[in-house]
Amino acid sequence: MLGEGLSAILSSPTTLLWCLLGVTIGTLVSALPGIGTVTAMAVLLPLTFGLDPVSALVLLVSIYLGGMYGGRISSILLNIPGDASSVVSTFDGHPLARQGKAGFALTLSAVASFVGGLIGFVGLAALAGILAEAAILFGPAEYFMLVCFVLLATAGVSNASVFKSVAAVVIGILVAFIGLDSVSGSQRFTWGIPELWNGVDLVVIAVGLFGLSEILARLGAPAMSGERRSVSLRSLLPPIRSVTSNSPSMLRGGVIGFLIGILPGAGASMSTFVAYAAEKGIARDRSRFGKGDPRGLCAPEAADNGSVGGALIPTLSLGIPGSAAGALILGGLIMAGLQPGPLLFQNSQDIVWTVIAAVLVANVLLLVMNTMLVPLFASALQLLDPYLTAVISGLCVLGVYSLRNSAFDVLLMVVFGVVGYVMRTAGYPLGSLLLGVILGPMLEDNFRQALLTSRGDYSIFWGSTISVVLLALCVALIALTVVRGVHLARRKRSAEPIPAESDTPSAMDTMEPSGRDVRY
Amino acid sequence: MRSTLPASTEVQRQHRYVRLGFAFLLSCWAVSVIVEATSMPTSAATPADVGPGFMPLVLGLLLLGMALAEIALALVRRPVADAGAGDGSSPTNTKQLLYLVAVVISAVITYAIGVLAAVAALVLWSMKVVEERTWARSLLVTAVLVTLLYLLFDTLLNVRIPLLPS
Repeated sequence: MLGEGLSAILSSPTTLLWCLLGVTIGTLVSALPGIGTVTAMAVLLPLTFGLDPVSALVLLVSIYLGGMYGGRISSILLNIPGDASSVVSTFDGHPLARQGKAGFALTLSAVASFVGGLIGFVGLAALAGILAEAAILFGPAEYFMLVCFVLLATAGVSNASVFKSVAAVVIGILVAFIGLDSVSGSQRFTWGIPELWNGVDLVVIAVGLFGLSEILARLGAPAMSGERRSVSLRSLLPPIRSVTSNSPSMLRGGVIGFLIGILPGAGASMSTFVAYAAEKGIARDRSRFGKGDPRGLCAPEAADNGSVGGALIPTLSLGIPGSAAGALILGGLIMAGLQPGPLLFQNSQDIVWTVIAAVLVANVLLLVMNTMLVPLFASALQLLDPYLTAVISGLCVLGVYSLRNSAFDVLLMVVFGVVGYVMRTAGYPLGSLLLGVILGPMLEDNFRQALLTSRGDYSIFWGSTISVVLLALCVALIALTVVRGVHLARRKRSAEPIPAESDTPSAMDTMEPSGRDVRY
Repeated sequence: MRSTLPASTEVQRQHRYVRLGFAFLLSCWAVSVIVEATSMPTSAATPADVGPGFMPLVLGLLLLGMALAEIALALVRRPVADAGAGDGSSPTNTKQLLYLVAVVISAVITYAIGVLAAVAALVLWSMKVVEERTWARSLLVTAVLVTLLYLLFDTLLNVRIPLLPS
């Protein structure tokens, strides 16, 4: 099936072109400080309307992967992470650039990204189908417990305050309830507005939350404080020799990234920190970390890209995204008329395997682009920056309007844009809200279906082994979160008078996907 | 890893107000959700169905509790340097307000002048007023961008966008 997926992309110049366009846009947009992968995907989501399902999904996956590659460029060259998952790349990447080894750092990180992406692809191709087969054993009760687990994990694993993560998830679920109830057909939270009967479109929410709020954040932020350095073409020439000596770090980072990527809510940024910490932990000589050690660049970059394959596994095989980017891919699947989940592997095998193959093709294209065309990207990055507000504005308004030719949708987008900006400012994670929107209907539908099946008997939620395991995981997660909270509170008390509050979120999560707001 | 520069007291206070204001709005919304959820039937199709109001009611109560706790915490705790004001920027400024007004106006005037003209107006406003570029550059960027967007959506992607007002 994978071979057919590969040939579907390679034999179709149009699909290949969309893949190329996706990786280019993803790389360019994510390389711009302040714009992350999720923002790029959200803003460009409306572009997929006019495409056939395969091209639409290939485009989204390519932007996703391109974004993962692009974030490192500004991290290394400018010491400004393109997005949250690229923060760790500044630790050793920028010191290398300061030592006049910008080309070395960029090429090495591109190869590390490729290795990580390849590990993610292998894992995805090997496990997605198996998990999809296992997912057929899931009934409504099991799905309900699984969605609960994913939502809890999103809140618990996140670096942001658990309190605010849970609130963001709840807000998302309640937003998803707007419209007609799928079972009874009664109106919910429509306030008598006919345009809300069909609910609020995911694109309107995503573009508002990420695209418009990003513009507001850009307009509100002071001038970037990162040190801008002119990079000579000579320093960007790819040095191939040093790559092999750092391959163990790349392999370790890729595996860590893939495994963490599967976990819901963990995401790429966490995998980069874990990979960096692991690499530093096993190194004999740690003194060079933070001063331009190639291992400190290779491991997180490989982890960043390895997480993509991991994150796509639950999205494709269970229909349950574990991250905001996964949620947007899921949105793309739904917009293409496909039903994500185990049946996707039975009914639309060709499309699924083409998407999986796109991960490989995009990775190869990105490796070529990011080693050969880095000088071009570095120049384009500086050219495009002054016009970003205008470009994103045009794309957001026209994209949202084109959904239903409705100006009401544009007004709704403004509402979500303002909400998104206020949430960023107040420290609420936007990705959690988007996951709530996606998983909300799934949560309620499965809950009600399970109760209908059991004739109102709640014991159905612990009536099977899978349910019991998932329930135990949920309880363990809650217990872990409480213990972590108590531990943090104790540490805070013992560390007085350090002026930091335990529920203050890390910008890594609250401001994601905007790298502009990342504090480091 | 965090910024060592403390945000100004004024900015900290503004961020605290944003946090408080958002929590207050959340609690108001949660109350409206609870009120509407309680007015919905508790059982729709069969006695086994909990009805369309059950989950909104549960989540509305949860959200209300969290919003009230957030308000209490924000009132009790003193402002700190890291309360979302890491870049030291004020949560609102004139540029943002000008931009938001422009987006709202562009959505409203879409009914009268059509979406493409409305987008052109928005892009021109963004370039000239918000980004403070020269007229020549603003007009050039607007013309190029709107043309590219139209070609992208209408010609390349076949997403029909009405040029004239409906």
